Amino acid sequence: MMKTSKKWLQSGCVALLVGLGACGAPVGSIDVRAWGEEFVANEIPASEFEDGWGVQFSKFLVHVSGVRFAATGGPSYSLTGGGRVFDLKPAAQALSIGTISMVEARRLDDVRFELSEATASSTVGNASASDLMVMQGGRYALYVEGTASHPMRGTRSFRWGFTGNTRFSNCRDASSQPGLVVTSGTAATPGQLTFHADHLFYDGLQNPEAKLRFDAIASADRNMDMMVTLDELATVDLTTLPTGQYTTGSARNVNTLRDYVTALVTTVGHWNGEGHCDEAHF
Amino acid sequence: MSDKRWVSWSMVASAFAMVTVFHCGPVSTGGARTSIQASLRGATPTGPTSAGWSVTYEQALLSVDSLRWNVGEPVFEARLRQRLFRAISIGTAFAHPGHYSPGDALADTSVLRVLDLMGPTVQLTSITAVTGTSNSATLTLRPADAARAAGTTLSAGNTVRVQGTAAKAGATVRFRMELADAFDIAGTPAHGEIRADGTTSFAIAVDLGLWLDRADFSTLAMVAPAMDGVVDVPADGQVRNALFRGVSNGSAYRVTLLPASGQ
Repeated sequence: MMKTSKKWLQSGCVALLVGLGACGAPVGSIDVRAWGEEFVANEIPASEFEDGWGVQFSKFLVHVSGVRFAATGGPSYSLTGGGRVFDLKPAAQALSIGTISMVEARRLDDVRFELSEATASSTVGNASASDLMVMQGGRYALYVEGTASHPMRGTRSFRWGFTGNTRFSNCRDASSQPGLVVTSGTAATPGQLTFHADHLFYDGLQNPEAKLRFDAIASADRNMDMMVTLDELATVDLTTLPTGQYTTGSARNVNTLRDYVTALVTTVGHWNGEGHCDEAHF
Repeated sequence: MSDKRWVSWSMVASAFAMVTVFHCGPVSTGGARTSIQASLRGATPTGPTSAGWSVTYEQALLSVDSLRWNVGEPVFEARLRQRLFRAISIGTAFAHPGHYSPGDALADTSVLRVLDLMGPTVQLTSITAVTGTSNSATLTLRPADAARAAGTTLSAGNTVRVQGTAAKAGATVRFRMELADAFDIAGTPAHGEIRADGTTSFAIAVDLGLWLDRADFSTLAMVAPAMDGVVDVPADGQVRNALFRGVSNGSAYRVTLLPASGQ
């Protein structure tokens, strides 16, 4: 009889501990990372494109700010240091951009970060001082340089800087689970701000069947200097492109290829690889 | 202490654990059956298009299959999602690159007719619904078969027909065209609380100005008009492309919750 009582006591204690642990005191830390994946570090191969082009970036500068982890009705933790510029091109693996310590070990269901315009107070992450100046000078949130190649059409280069602020919030992982679960102990829980560079070349703003294309962008090289500028993209009205391409969904005021690529910038931010966030201009 | 008391204590502890664990998670809820009303009309242009043309419509016909109100947030709108909505939305992975996820449908109706957007406002009554907060709508536009197109000027096999006059800097063009494409207008903003009392009503305005906002009618200058003086817009022309893009743009369909009567 005494043995049975002990068993009940043990199981009760375990249950009680589980309950306490769910909202309790154990702490851990978050290793905040940023990555552009292989598409930035290496290339977006031609096999990914619908029209035979392939793209290789030489620079992929992001100005990251407002990184915050919170639990609904609970604590919130922010990455300190203000907005910083990172170049994701040299990052063969996810780049550690900061650690947040003394974080309650639990699910932090509200993860958010910003791809925001660089300001005078912005600082460098892994980017160079000259990269920072480029970002600050143009008030860019994202700046990309690269080359597209096609076996028949040759090469086109691009250097595009994008202004505007996008907040990625309520981030969910690839399984649609909100935020991340911070584990207790000394090993930091990784949390990755992932930037999908291929999105800049999608031909649909709200289309699950969207394709990567570069033909129309290459053809925008009006002065034929093999460099496609955003100003040249602004001369291409979407109504001159095939109706099945560069569809806008419910987006307003997206009339040219420049508008289009700019609108796609707001879709590049992801969470822990393939996870998604709510996107909002601010 | 008896075994019974150990069991009771253990059950209380387990219950506490369950309550505590689930207290940290989302709360889900269901809606009660009700109905809503909707009105649908064409909103004619009030000024020149962004391409500088003043468009006057004579005809605007649209073949509509269905309308649906959804919990999911629209894609192109800067709103913070409420936690409850997340809790009851479908938890599937989002599509690239736009992330529209319709979530649960709150109201749904099969229209299955050709709507004259230049005519009187079309009233859709007794639309099956459940209570809840709508955030977006989907419209399914499909080509009309002969039966559906009968009695209208829309040719069977088409979804849209427009006819009108475009004027700019002394140039005037009479035009007409039809589109045979199917359109799924998904994720247009449609915010409103669907109430249990059956009095919820939405107004849907089709922005005919936006339909042809990017049309450059000067591209029709070399096209000979038909016997009645109207230019039939060429299939591969810029104006048809502009209409296709205008019709497929969700922002051309403005869904507004009407104030409850008596408020």
